[in-house]
Amino acid sequence: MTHPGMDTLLAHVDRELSPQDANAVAGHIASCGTCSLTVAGLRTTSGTLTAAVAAIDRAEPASWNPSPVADAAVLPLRPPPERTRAAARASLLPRAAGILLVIGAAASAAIMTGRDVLSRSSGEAVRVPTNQLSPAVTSVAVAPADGVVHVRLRRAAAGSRVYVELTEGSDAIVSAESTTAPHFTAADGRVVIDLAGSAAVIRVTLPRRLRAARVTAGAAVIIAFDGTRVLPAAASDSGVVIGGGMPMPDP
Amino acid sequence: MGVERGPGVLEGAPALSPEYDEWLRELRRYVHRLTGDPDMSEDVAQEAVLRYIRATPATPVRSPRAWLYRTATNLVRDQARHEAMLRRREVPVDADTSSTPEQDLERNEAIREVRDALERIPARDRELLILRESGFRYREIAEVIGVKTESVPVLAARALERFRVAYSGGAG
Repeated sequence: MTHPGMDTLLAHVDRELSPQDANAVAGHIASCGTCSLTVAGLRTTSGTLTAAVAAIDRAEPASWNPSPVADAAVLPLRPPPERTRAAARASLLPRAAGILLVIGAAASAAIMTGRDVLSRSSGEAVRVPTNQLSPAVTSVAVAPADGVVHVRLRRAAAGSRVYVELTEGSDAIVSAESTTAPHFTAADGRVVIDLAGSAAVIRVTLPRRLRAARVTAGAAVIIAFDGTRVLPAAASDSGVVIGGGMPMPDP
Repeated sequence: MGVERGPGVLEGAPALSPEYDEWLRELRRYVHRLTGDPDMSEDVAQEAVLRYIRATPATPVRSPRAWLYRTATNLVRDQARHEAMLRRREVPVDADTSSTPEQDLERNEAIREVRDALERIPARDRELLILRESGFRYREIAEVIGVKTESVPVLAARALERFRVAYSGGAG
């Protein structure tokens, strides 16, 4: 038998040959030092590539592959527990700081993205009655170290209007993706995002020094964490509140 | 705050099938392997899935997976042509805080070497190798990158050799 070509040897390694061809090639390799070495080389390079790809995968953003902290941060929206507003605010906003993000409903196809920088100018978080909130938020993922909060609006196919509001003196970058170009209106420390689309995602990038976050949707707290621990969910009827006053250690 | 509620649009909207979420995850990883660009990965994955949703069921798709990967691959090629996304080739530093700075440095250096090697080989080689690493059979790879199935092992062997040379050259 003449030596199989490199393509045939690779197809053998990749188990792409028919059983008959695979047997013939395997028989040849067993008796041919040259081809045996070639196959070993192919396997080695393949292994290197596999390890390389695994290394690339490990560099994926934490929010894609939630760590134990962020994993717990991806929770479904659920009905609010019975709590009073006073109690909720006491447990949620000990520092009275953060961003208010409210999901409402409006009207809506290629993913378009947009972003705006939101700076607080004045005022406190604006409370929105629970009955004006929509259950558009299906998951919230938080990347604790880079301060990015992803709010996914999976059920916003017909369109959503999102309000993001800072409640303390700092900036945040608000970006949105939806099936039509998101439209931003920014004024008085508030950004209104008109977007639409079933794959809509809102990202709020908090300043790095703000590591803690508290996120609620409607009257339910999705997640609260202090940078290292996930705190028990608690109730609030003050909208989606993101942010907190815990400073992030200097690198 | 003047929150207006639309006429039941959100409640009435169809939920995305879980399979779409799975496609999004898969495609995002694929594009990230190809480009190392998280933002581009998100954009391309979502665009590909949206195009699929729009294209079907009016246009029946025999193999959704191949269709989605081909679309994503073409989007990446388009982006590369327009170069805008290629500016951001920095290795992203993930949020894993459990490792030591030395481990981070070592890992990021390893990733940079891999990325450098992958970027030194032709785009089609890169696509082919990543698809192969993603578990695609030759028939599927052929469908995604637009070649004959018989050509795939030839191209794959060549691509693997180019990667080996690029990687050993860069890492050595």
